[in-house]
Amino acid sequence: MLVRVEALYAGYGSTPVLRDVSLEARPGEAIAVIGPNGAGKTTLLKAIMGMLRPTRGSVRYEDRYLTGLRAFQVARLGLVYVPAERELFPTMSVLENLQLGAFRNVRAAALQLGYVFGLFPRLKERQRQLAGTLSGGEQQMLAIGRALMGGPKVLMLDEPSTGLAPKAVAELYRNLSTLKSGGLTIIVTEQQVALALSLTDRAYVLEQGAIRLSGRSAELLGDPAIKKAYLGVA
Amino acid sequence: MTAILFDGIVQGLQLSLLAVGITLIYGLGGVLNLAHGQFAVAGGVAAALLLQLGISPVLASLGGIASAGVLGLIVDRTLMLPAYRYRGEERLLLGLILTLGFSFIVDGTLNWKFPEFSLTFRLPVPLMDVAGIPMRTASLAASLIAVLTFAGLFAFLRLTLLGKSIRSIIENEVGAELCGIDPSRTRTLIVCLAAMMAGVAGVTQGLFSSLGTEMGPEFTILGLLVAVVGGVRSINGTLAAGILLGIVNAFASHYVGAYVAYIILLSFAMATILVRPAGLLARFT
Repeated sequence: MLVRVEALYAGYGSTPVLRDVSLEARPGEAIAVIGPNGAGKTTLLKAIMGMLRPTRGSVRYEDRYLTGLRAFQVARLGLVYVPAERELFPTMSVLENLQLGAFRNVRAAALQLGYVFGLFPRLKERQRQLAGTLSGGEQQMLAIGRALMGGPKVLMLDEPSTGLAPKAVAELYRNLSTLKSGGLTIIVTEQQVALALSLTDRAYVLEQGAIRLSGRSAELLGDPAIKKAYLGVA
Repeated sequence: MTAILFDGIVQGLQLSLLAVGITLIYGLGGVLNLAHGQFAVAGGVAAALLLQLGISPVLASLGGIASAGVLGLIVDRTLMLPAYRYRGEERLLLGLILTLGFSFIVDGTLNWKFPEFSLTFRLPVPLMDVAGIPMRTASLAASLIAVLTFAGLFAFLRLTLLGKSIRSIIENEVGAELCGIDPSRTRTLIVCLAAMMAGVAGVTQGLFSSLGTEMGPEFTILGLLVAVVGGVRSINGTLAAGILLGIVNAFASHYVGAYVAYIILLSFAMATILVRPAGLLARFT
């Protein structure tokens, strides 16, 4: 198992958000975490990343516990996170944003840059442009490209389709699918449930901070309860 | 007229050396350093002590600048730790108290140990002719040093990956951390660099005038003033504000005298902040 979250409890201050959440991802697997707004999807990814201290439970990655590590240390281990806000450096160029993604591994950077430009040719065309001037879809590409620059093993994305036009969303999921077939392990949270389920192998349904349901994505896609609650089909 | 303008630019560059350090520490560490002028004085004192040991002026100056850097490193790694445990306003407030306390300790210690101290370098050629205008060699040298320091800083921030990582933290700390950049190590580096720039200001003060142990608070206040007028987050804005306030100060000192010049300087700073609250070069968004 590449990532194993066990009986995780986490929250903000004295407000608990996650209760007894367990989740796992094998190498090369794509996992979706779906659920309504406020269910705790972002909190879960932040807790895995070390941006939030879990109150109980553990996160294991490649047979080591991530307890007490900070986000930059987790990122260096090859577990990277693309938040919904993208957190780019708007007044720096596209190229500089990408270079900073490979901050820890300058030697591998040239190789990774070629790979990222191959995946997102648009970023190559706009490498001199400031990140803040890109369109929403391009900014999402840049956020993912920057996360890939360090050569990660696991890519976690928080609602990557947020704020994107339908065409950009379709392009984004084509790219994620390419990454998946390249062997990258992906954990994605999403409001666009149908898209997330068609990309991933397995999925977890998070409601009010707890896992309510989990299973193969293809099966969940056909589940009447899921259809009713998330896919807008009676 | 030209001579006053030039004098203002020289003074302004010195102010900028102090103020850019304050801006960097604020942008990266979230702390407004009230002991920044004391870094400058400590660097100057160290240079003077090295001079007394018979070391050459250039090496003594470099040693003084390095000493300021070491002092910055120690302060960041010890005194500031309680403040770094907090974020936002709490860190700012605790940082103000800690650095203010530290400035009193430095001032007190230096005044007690070196009551008669002053650092003055004498250059072999006092005056030089530049485009027909006689100019003080010391002022030219001090300006050249300041300009070279800024050029080095800009090249470092623009061209090196380490410099880019510093800019990335100023711009978006969360994003930088997600790239694997360690914010606290980068912060230590920047406090050290900023202290060294203050050290440059302290040593060059001894070049075109003289540096006394009592000058710390004045340096701090002028540096803060320039940093605030410059926008406290913009390095370019701070550099511009330093030169502008230096020129204002030089003209005011020449026409109405040094004491009134301070009042004019403060009024000018307040007026600038009223008109452009986000700083001189702030972008309109």
